[in-house]
Amino acid sequence: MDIKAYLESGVLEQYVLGLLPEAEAAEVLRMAQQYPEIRAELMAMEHALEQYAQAKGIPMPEGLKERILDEVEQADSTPPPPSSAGSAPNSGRAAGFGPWMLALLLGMALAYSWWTGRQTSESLRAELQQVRTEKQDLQLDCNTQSERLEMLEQQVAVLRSSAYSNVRMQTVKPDVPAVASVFYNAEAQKAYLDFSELPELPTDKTYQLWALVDGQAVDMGIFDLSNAEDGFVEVPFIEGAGAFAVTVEAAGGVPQPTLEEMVVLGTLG
Amino acid sequence: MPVRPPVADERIVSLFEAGDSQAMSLVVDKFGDALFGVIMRMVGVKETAEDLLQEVMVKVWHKRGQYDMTKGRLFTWLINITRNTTIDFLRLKKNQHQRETVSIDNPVYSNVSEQGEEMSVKDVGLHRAIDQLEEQYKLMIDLLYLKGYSQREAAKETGIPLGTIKSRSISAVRQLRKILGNDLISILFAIALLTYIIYNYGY
Repeated sequence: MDIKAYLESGVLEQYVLGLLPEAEAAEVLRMAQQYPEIRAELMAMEHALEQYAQAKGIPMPEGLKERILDEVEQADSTPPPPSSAGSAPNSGRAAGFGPWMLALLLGMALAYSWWTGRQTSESLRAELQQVRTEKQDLQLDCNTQSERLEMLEQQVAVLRSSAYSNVRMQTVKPDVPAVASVFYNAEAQKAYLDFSELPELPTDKTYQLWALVDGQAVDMGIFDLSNAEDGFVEVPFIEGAGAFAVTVEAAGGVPQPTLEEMVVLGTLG
Repeated sequence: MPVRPPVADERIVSLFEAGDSQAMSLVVDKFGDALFGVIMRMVGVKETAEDLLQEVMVKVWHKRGQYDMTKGRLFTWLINITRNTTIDFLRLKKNQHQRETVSIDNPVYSNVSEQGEEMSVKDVGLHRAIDQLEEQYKLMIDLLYLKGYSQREAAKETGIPLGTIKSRSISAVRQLRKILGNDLISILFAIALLTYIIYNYGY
């Protein structure tokens, strides 16, 4: 390869002025990348033309630089245009391609937004279902709480009321602290038991309340913390009761009290 | 006005690679006027040229990954984008006359800037050097390089035969290089000469 001859042929000068057809221009580029001397010459020529262009430059109008930099910043935040073929017909080949690209992109965009729309609506539906269930649960919870509140309000009313007499039942076993109370309203014929201070029992045992009427024990019912969580429960009103007692019995209760298992006792009057 | 050395192309390219848009500020500073001149000579209308330059710069930023320094100088790449964008615009306008109405001999576009500002010493030297170039060679470079005419279009425009266009273009580039004398060898020679003078007469 006679580099000197190549350099003197004038092909490089033609290249830098854009006179060579594509194939020959590509050849020059290949030569330049292969031979450093050719590359150096090419760069020097380009530099000379660059200086010519600089000398022939026209000063940019006032503010154009700022406008350009603003535009670049803005364009930077948005993605570059899909293809220059879409924006200006730079060759006959490209002109027909542009509209199809645009249609394809549009189709893709529509398909994507339809698909994400579906995803969103599905997830919204699921969310709605979940919210509904939660609402139901909360409703139940709320109802339970209202009932409880009612019950508590009733207890408070009873405890405060002067219409209710209080029979305090004290422990019969000095070393076992226990106390319970019977509240009774002779006029309204209602009675309540407060056993909140009684100790907890194993599951096979239960407390039973008795009224002593003329020496006879009358069953007033069994109770434990499982059916009256506040330790406050309504009991039957027994006319003529002289005393009340609580015994520990087997679960389910017994017809007659087991006197040895008496826990508390209280008399009227 | 003090002469500042222009920013090196390498600096701009490394900012391109880093995705740092500061690169564009440097591009506008270094090449803005040259590219604006190219566009102005092709479209002739200031506002249009401004819009096109803006468009060119945005394209440059978007295409920055495409610039390959092994294939040519940065300015070559920039002027190609500039010419092509302007040609596309002109084709769109279907106004071929635009390219012909702007006279390259128009004194407005000669050495003196539009505002008549003082040029830096370096610029004046460059202008003076360019002025030494023969008119016929200037014409070739103006048509083929600055305006991006093809050989055929230049022949049609000037009435000069195709073959003469070719030979004159080659001579134009060669003479330009000689005038500018920016070959490495001549620079080294100049430094050597200067060193010799200082050494011998500096005592």
